[in-house]
Amino acid sequence: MQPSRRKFAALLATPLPLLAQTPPPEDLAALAKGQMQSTSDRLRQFKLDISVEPAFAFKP
Amino acid sequence: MTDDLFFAPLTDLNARLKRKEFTCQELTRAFVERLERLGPRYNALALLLKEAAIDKAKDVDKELKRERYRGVLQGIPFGAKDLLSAKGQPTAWGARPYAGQVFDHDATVIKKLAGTGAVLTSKLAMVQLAGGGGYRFPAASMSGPGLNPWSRAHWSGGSSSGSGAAVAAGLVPFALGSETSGSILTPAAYCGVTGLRPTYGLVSRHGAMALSWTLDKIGVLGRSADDCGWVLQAIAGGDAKDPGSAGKSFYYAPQFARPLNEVTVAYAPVDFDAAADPSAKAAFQTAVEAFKSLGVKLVEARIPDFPYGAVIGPVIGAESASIFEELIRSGRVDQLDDKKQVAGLKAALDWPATDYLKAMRIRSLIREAFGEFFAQYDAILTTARPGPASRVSEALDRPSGRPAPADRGFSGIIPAGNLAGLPALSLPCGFAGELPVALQLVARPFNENLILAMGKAFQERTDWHRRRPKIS
Repeated sequence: MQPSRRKFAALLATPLPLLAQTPPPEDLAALAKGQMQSTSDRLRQFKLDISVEPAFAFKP
Repeated sequence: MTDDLFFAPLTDLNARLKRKEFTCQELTRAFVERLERLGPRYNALALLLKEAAIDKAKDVDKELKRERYRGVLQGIPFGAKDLLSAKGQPTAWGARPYAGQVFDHDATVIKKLAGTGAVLTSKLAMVQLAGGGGYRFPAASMSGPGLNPWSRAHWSGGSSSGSGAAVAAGLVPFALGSETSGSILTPAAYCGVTGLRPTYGLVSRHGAMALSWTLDKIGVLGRSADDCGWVLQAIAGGDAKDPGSAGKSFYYAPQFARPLNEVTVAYAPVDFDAAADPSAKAAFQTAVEAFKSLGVKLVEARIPDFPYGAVIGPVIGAESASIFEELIRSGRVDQLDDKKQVAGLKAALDWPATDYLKAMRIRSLIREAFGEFFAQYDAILTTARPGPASRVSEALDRPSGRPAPADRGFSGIIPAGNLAGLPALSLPCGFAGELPVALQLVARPFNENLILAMGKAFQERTDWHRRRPKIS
């Protein structure tokens, strides 16, 4: 499949060291999900008293 | 006009306008021509507003001629991060999917500055969407990577990249920036300018791109603490159009802050030693000694113990995914320039509500903990960033290569200060090689005058904020 002109121009404009350091999109998606999961795990380790309310309040 | 003019304090520029040493038109033309010539050199310029600026300058000149004075900012050119709307002008938020976007209103801060007689010359470049989703490279901007006036091989910092570079290079006397978590302090530190992040709610965000409703703040990048104080006075104030507005005003009065010999400042020596980049340690340690000479009482302390990174992640992630949901689901998000950021925004749609709410509940405890902390101490002194700017070609998520010290010190103060809505000031304090490094002062909410007074006193004893990069 031919890349679009915009994608081709972007590719040309990207410095080579950056291209070499960029993982493929599927790896980046897995990385993002993995980071979210580890953040969730850290949050869940933090024990909260049931009475603690969130740091925003609804104002009628 | 000499080069000194481009680096002069706001009070000096305003006094010279009133003395009719030059007109506002002449001053504005000088800054606009410099911005036009040098802005692209640092990828700092999103949009030049030459004609509108000259028209405004003509109006200011008429007022000055009639001796109708409006204060320190009258006749002063400035730039605004391209996240702020200016009526009828493109506001792209640094992002290709929003190129050509035009709003029919001015952001409240732009309107307030126009009312003081300040002259908007430009929209300044920024990291796309203020970095929402998490970017990997400084090139995450439709303007290209922000280049540092001290070394174009290095980053100017983000996300207020153009604001930092433009002030450092003398392209504007001051600039507006915004911070969700580090976006004013980082470019200010990397570019060697003074950066003020106000208390959450003190400055209206109406007309600004939202990244996180509960974290976003509009602030100032300037040449000194004094300049930042004058600008904050002009832009602060309640605004019914901003639901986060605290409804408070701010009057810059550092002379009425507590005497510095009555001020207790918390600090952790590790921040300036093992936690600092080796190239910056000497500068930090000299700066701490200079700070001690102000007469403040420095007392060792540590940051309240919370998982700040894990708390701020879902807050920014869930709020930004909601704000940009249409962009993400439509697929237009793929037009962004950083693939990690695209992946981060897509993934953020799946933050569980329970995680977001847990983070916001922990945030209540963080706010309480800082309330107790500031019952003991008046301010925190730490580094703005542990070291100087990274190279433009380096990935921002690369490991530092240094083990984290066992002593936490005030590590995590940027997410912590933002989660608790605290004001902070970044002060240039020396160099690591050719690149600037900076101290950070943090205070309790709405205590800007105290950190500005300390910053002003520090800058009266040092000249780091007056240093200029070589600009050919």
